[in-house]
Amino acid sequence: MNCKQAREIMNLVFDGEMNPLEAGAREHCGACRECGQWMAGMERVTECVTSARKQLSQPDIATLVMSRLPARHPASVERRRVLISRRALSWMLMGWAAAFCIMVVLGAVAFKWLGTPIAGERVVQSYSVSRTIAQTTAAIVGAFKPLGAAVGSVAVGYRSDAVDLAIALVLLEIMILIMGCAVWRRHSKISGSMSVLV
Amino acid sequence: MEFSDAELIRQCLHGDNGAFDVLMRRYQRQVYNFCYGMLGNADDASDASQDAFVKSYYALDSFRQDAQFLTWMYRIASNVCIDLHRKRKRHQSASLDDEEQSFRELPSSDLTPDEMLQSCEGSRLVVDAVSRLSESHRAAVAMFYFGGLSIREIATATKRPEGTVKSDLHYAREMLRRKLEGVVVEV
Ligand SMILES: [Zn+2]
Repeated sequence: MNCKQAREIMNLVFDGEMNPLEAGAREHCGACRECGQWMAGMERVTECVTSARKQLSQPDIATLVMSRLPARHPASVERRRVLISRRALSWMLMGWAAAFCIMVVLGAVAFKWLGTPIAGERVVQSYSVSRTIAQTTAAIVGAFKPLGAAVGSVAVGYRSDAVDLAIALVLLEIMILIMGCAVWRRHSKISGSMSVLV
Repeated sequence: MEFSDAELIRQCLHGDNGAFDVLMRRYQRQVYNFCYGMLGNADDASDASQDAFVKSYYALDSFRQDAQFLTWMYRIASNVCIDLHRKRKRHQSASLDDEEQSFRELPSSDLTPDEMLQSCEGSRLVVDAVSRLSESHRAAVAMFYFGGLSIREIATATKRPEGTVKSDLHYAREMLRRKLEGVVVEV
């Protein structure tokens, strides 16, 4: 083994590698004065660096870093914001579904009570099944057209309580609409404040 | 119960900053030592390791779970240290690239090698010498000797072939040996 080979092998040993030729390289460095000095120098480098590392004091980096971080990770805030938006949307849908049901029920009740379609649609009188379908359809349509129903009622001279009911339905629709908007605004505000937090 | 790195990262991403605190305490020593190796003084090492952890916190959602957190952390810390070192060098208006010149300017010690070891003079000299190496050589030495990474881990952290890392480390070690022996490096 020559000097170059011995030093190459010893360098790999200093890198932390197991080498089958290590014994031979060490033997060469023990016998060759120049390589012996070279190896002593390399070992001194390792000792000095190890000693420098051991002398290091360890500052509490974690505590210093924690004081520089926000209360929550931005990714978690974003995830929370999306969840809130989804919840707001589901509340809106549920609200509108409930409003729809109330309107249908009120429309149907009004139809039964007054005995005439409040929207003024024609009713098939012959068979009970088709009559029920027609009545329900008229009730639903009537429920969604309270204003039209009111106008129609006045125009064709329906009973005055039909007009009262139609006006009440208009007011109810407006109230539901305002409530829906209020719920939406409230959830939007929460989402907005979470974004500001980031 | 000790959580894995991946579990702590998941908890942090779900809003638990305490999990990141645990993660930092697990690795702060290695990261700080590495930064010290890169920069050569305690104040800069403290600043750099803090910056590295803050950067890693904000980039946590981009961390790939199949990678090792510490290796990823070293990559971030390495970039932070290089930036800080460049800024510092710019202030000193010294040439960054002239590694040999920088070594010549490094004060030598009058002590013998054994005296140096006993008096910590060798440690001071070697740290000073490391901080004058080029970026890639310095990163290899700091990760290997100060951070305690293997050649393979350094290759992963620096995204360089293992052979290149070995060659950087051999060169840097040779430079440090010459410095400790009081040999003035000739170009
Ligand atoms: Zn030899």
